Formats: sequence, C-alpha cells, structure tokens
Amino acid sequence: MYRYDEFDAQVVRERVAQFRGQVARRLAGELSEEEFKPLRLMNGVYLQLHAYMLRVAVPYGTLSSRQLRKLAHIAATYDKNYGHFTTRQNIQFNWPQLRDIPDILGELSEVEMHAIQTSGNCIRNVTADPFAGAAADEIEDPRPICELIRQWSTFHPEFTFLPRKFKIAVTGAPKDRAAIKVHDIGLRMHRNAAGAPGFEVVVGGGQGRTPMIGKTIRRWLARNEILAYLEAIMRVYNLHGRRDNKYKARVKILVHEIGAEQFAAQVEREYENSAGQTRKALPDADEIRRIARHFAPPIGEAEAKADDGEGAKKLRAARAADGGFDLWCRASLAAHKIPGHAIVTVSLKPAGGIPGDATAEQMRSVAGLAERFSHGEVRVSHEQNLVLPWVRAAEVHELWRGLRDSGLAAANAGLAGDIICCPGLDYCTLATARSIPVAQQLGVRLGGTKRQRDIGGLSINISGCINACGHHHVGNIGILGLEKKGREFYQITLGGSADENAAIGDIIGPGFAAEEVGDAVDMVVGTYLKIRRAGETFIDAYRRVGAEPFKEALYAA
Amino acid sequence: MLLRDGAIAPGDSWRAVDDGEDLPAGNVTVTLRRFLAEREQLAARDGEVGVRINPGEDLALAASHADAVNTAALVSIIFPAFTDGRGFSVIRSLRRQGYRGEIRADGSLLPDQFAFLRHCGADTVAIADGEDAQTWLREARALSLAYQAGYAPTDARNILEARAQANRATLRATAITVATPEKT
Amino acid sequence: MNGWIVSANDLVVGTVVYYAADGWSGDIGDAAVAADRIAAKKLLAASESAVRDNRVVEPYLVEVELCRGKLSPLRLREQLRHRGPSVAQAGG
Repeated sequence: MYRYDEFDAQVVRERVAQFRGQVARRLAGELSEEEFKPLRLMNGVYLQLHAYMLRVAVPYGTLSSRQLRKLAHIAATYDKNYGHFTTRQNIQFNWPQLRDIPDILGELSEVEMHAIQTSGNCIRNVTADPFAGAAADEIEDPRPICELIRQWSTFHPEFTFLPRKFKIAVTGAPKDRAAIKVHDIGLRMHRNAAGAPGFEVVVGGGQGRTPMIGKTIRRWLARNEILAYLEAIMRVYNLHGRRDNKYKARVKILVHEIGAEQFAAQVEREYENSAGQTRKALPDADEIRRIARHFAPPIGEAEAKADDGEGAKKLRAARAADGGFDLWCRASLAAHKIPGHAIVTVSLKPAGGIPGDATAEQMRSVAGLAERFSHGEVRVSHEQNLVLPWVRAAEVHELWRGLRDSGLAAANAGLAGDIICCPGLDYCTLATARSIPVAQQLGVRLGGTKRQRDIGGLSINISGCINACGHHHVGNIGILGLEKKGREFYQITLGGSADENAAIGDIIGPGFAAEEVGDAVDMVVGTYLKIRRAGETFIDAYRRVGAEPFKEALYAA
Repeated sequence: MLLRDGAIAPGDSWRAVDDGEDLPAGNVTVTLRRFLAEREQLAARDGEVGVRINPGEDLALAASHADAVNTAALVSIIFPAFTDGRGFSVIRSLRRQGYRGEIRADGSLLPDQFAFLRHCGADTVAIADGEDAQTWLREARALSLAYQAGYAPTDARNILEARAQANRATLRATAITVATPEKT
Repeated sequence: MNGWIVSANDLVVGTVVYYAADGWSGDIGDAAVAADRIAAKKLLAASESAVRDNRVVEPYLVEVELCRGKLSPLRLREQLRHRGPSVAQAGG
C-alpha cells in the first residue's frame, strides 16, 4: 500500500500545526464559533449531540495494521474505547475533547493518516472497492488512481469552496462493490475495443433527499487522462452548480437540470480548452509509476505460481468438518486473483450490536490477525465491515478461530443481518429518528445464520434522516427514520440496490411506528420467501413481481 | 488594504467607479457591463482601466467577451461570500485565456483562502481596513507545499516538480555509479 | 407544567451543559427554568454572555416538562442529549 514520502508527510504535519494554532485561537477567544466552524469542519471536527465528533479519512478504504493499532490507541486514550466505521470507509470517534484533537491529529500523522477534507464543501475522501488489488474479477487495482486523486484533491486551490460536498468512488472490477453509481463521480474500469483499460465516467449520482443514479458522460477515458478530465468536471460544477439552495447544490441537480448530454458537452468543451495546459502540468509517467509501485500485491509471483492446491484442499476439509466454520466461510470468503488465497470479510454486525462499531480491543485483534494472515493489510467496506485481503486459503480456519475469540466471527456478511446503519439520533445532530435500535432489533429478529442463509443475499439499510448516510435508498429493504408530532416513525423502501445494477428503492406506503418496524420487515421477508422462484434473490424477485405483493402483505390487513 | 506577494502593498492607485458615476482622472475600475459598453470612452481618457467581475452575475458575459477582458489593466474579482468559490475558477480561467494583467481578489474572503487565491493566479487581495493583515500573511504561509501543478504557487513548493527533480537526481546518481567502473 | 431551559455544549470538552443560576452545569436539575416565552427569551439572552466568555457553544432553548420537581425535555432529541445514547456503547 501507499507510503508517504517526505512531501506527503510534511503536508499533513503542517496541517496539524495550522489546526493546533486555530484551536488555540478558538480557546483563547480570538476566533468566534462562527469563524472557527468552517476551519474545524475542514479538519473533520463536528459538534454532535453529546460531544465533538472526529471523522478520520481511510483513503480508499485501505489501512495498515499499524494504522489500525493507532486508531485503537486513539479510541482508548482520547475516546470511550471504540470507533465507528462509516459507509464512506472512514472512521468516526464520538467523544473527543476539542482540546485533545490537535494531539489526536498529531498521532494520526505519525501513521500517515489525517482528517483533511472529511467534511466541508470540498472533494471528500475518495472511496474504492474494498477488494481492490485482490478481487478475482478485477481488471486492475484502482488504488493508484485513487491515490492520485487523493493527492490532487488535497487542498486543491480551485475546488475547496464548491457549491456542496463532492464524493468520488472508483472500481476496477465489473462487479461494483463501491456503489459508484450513487456518487457525485463514479469511475468504473473496463477495457475498450482495443483491449486497453480505462474508465467509464458516471456523474450526478447521489442519495440524500433527492436520490439519483449517476449518468454516464464518457464511455471510456484513458487512465492518464483522469485528472485532467476530473478537473474539467469540477470546473463546470464549481462555476455552474447551484448556490442559491443548499438542497439543490449537489452536482446531481445540475446534471438533472441541464441534462446529462448538455453537462457532458460542457465538460468536453472545458476539457478541450484546458486539456493541453492541464495535461502538461499533471503527474508524469514516472510519478504515476512511483505511486503504482506501492500497490504491488504483497504476494510474490513465485509464491502465486507455487500454489499446488494444497491450501484450498485444507480449507475444504476444515469446512467439511465444521458446519459453523463452513457457514461463516460461505458468507465471508470472496474469490482471490492469486491462486491459493482468499479475501476475508470481517463482519462488524454481531446480532444485536451496533453496525460498524469496533472496540479498541477488536481493532487491535484485527490488526494482529492482519499481521499474521493478511500481510498487515486491512480494508474498510462501505457496508461498514472490515476486510482482510491477502489470506492464504490454508490459514483461513486459523484466522476464523482468532476472529471468534474476539467476537468478530458473525457469519452474516452479505446476508440480512449485515445491516448498514448510520449513527442516527443516538449521536447525530441532523438525525430525525434513531437508527441503531432498529438495526439491533432487526439483527435479533432476522434469526440465526441458518435462517439468514435461507433468506439469501439481502441488504437492509437504515438512515436516521433524509441525508441518507445509512444508504437507505439503495438497500434492498431501506428504512428511513423520521419524526412526526414528536414520535419516531419509519418509512420503508423496497428494491434499492447499490451495485452495478444500482436502483433507488420505491417508497412502499405509509411509515411504521418504531415497534412495528420488526413486524413489517418480517412481513416483507415472508412475502419474498413465498413468491421466490428457485435461485432467486430478494432483489431478483422484487424486480420480477414489483411492489404490489409486498404492499398487499403490509397494508391489506 | 492591499496584500501583494506576501506583504502589505504600499498604497492603492485604483478607484472603483459605479455605473453612471462620472469618471475621475487616474486609474479606475468599472463594472463588466460598463467596461464593455463604454470601451471607447474609457480608452480615450488618461489613466488605466480595470474591470470588476462578480462571479454571481457576470459569468456568461465574461466568458463571451474574453478578448475584451484580456485588454483590461486590472481584473478585480468580487467574491459575494467566502463560501462561494466560483471566483477561484474565474481567476483560473482568466489566466488560461491568456490574461496577463493584475488579478485582484476582493469581497468576502477568509485569510485561509489567501494561498489558494494566489495559486489560482491572483496577484493581490483587498482586505477590509479592520482586518489583521498579519493573520492573512501568516495563513498564506501555513502550507508550504502544493500537489497541484499548473497552478501558480508562489510561496509554496510544488510537490510534483520536487519529486521529478528528486527522480532526475536519482537517475544521475545511478548513471554516475554505472559509469564509474567503465573509466577504471 | 411546561417551561424552558437553555442548553449548549461545553466549548472545550463538548459535553452537554445547562444554564444555571450560577453558570453552567452538566446536571439538568441545576438548570434555570423560564415559565413563559418572554422569560425564556431573557434567559437565552443572559446565557449568551457565556458565549462571549468562551465557555459554551451555540446555546438554545429547550422546552421541558416539570413533573414532581424533575425536569424532563419534551423532545426525544433533547431527552437523548440529557440521558446520553439510548444504546449500549461498544466500549463501555
């Protein structure tokens, strides 16, 4: 994975020093809250219901075990011993004190981490396929491009005061695990007719109060053109995105209002006008190679070639011998591009737990297991799970035992219990209703692994307000918490999907009181089980039959 | 007060003249509308002419009269709010279309934006008289490095260029090591 | 009986505080209560001097119910701010 050079390190160090000065001025009364707020937000510091909250970037979801240990240390030293992994592959600390935050940022800089641009109307942390570099179906590791984008977008002089926040997601595989179609810009790698890898450019997707699926404005763009093209998109958006209404300021509204074709034409014109100058100024081939070298797989070619199938055989034998382990494997393992290896998802969704939360001890355990079994590398997924990308098939069983000892062996990745959930009104000042208690209640009601296995692949996403941090619009079952007359109620959407066939869920009817949500979800799942054909997942069945049978089950009585 | 090149600039010779107001002697700035409508009158007088561009109102007009704007001795960008970053792209576009005169940032701005303005291509920043110029000058130097090549860092060092230099140095060092045995 | 109190977050630490007769307190029981809207406005204005003293951030009025000598906020959001998250915390 990428390591900072002296320049990257200095950029972050200077930022910490600058923020330390700003906090000192705030505490001394030289800066008012009004003046300080935009400065703290640009460093990921929010003021939430109970305390400050610090959002730390995990660029494109890649973490080293050393970084994860540092996060554990911060949780234990400055917070209440836990952290919350978010749907944007970041981690949030819920209880830091303002006076400690410069020290926390200082500690983060020691392990090449920061909170830069995790908030504010700027280009946010770029996200990626959590299996990047390891997935069997991948064309190429998208992370070198992500790192290029990270550096290019850091303190961009032209694009730091945009109409609204701006999120970019990248995938190098046909199977979209990065939800690129619901981002301001989604980049999907594929090969053109000549076989050269490049990116499809999708713009104007997003969730929030106006959910939209992004539109393709370029079928194929060569990799070395990405930054120049992004610059053209950003300039069109910066100049023409709406600034009169916060709720209409995202690029999706601009694309929607002028149309994808017109938007594409403006971008292409800007690109033609500036491309010559911009391209000359962008990272040269040496620099691109320098960055790409950092992402070479930690497993050497010799080792990859030497695989004799023994590891896979050992894994099969262990699965045959242990039913519990086998169920976990079915949920947690993904195909690897290097023979004899597996990608392992570590579910942060124990039944009744808080989705995405991990204690300092759990972070240390995962760091230790990553060192033993995954070349010291960990990923964060937008589903709020962790991933160990470089595990030998022969060692999966031992890894599982280690995870089990730390309470991290929930066998529900990709199943109904793998609930995506924002912090909701238990923490968040924007929320209109609680979301975590709903996730906890559902996690228990959905039943054990065997029942969830029978239900099959099903995503349940819960947001505590219309801003949709819990990605409810793209959950197969989406739950949105709202408030009416002082009471929480929950609106259910069906048919959403965040993958390459991304879709916004349909609102199914009137909302439900908190105590009714469990029954309603049971009813939806029960209806699916009744109508499904052999091999049909929930989303397949929904697409075949539509909303009617579900509406009938929910509201007919 | 005017800041230029990381220092307080001595005196400002420019006077902002409103639409309909009589033109005084000396250097003046006028609105884009007036600048385009009264080009001959403006050119005939003594003193230089600058143009004020408000990104909130003048974007389309400025873009369609790039050649005229390029003749101004000064372009002053009036930021309607510090959160409104259109001015950064306007400055950038001016430089790209070949404008070589002075670009001044004016209006609602924060000290933290000083460096970015300069990187985009602004020469000067006008700050309100009550503001602490030292804060502005300090913030302009807070970050000494920039990743974005092609922008015009003045105080900041460009990381891409620094890396390319380091690469070339490594290559030269390698070349010497390789060459040495041949000589002996 | 309903009334209004003033709540804010502590500037340095971030925790929830209430405006009391003798400054700010983490205990809602200490909060100064205004019986009507006019008194509430005055209370808020008085609390805002503490913003200038640089102790708290963004004070605002919270409607409360006074029942058997105990104050409890009417809105769920304020109940949660008062009692803390309704869910067990992973670290605790």
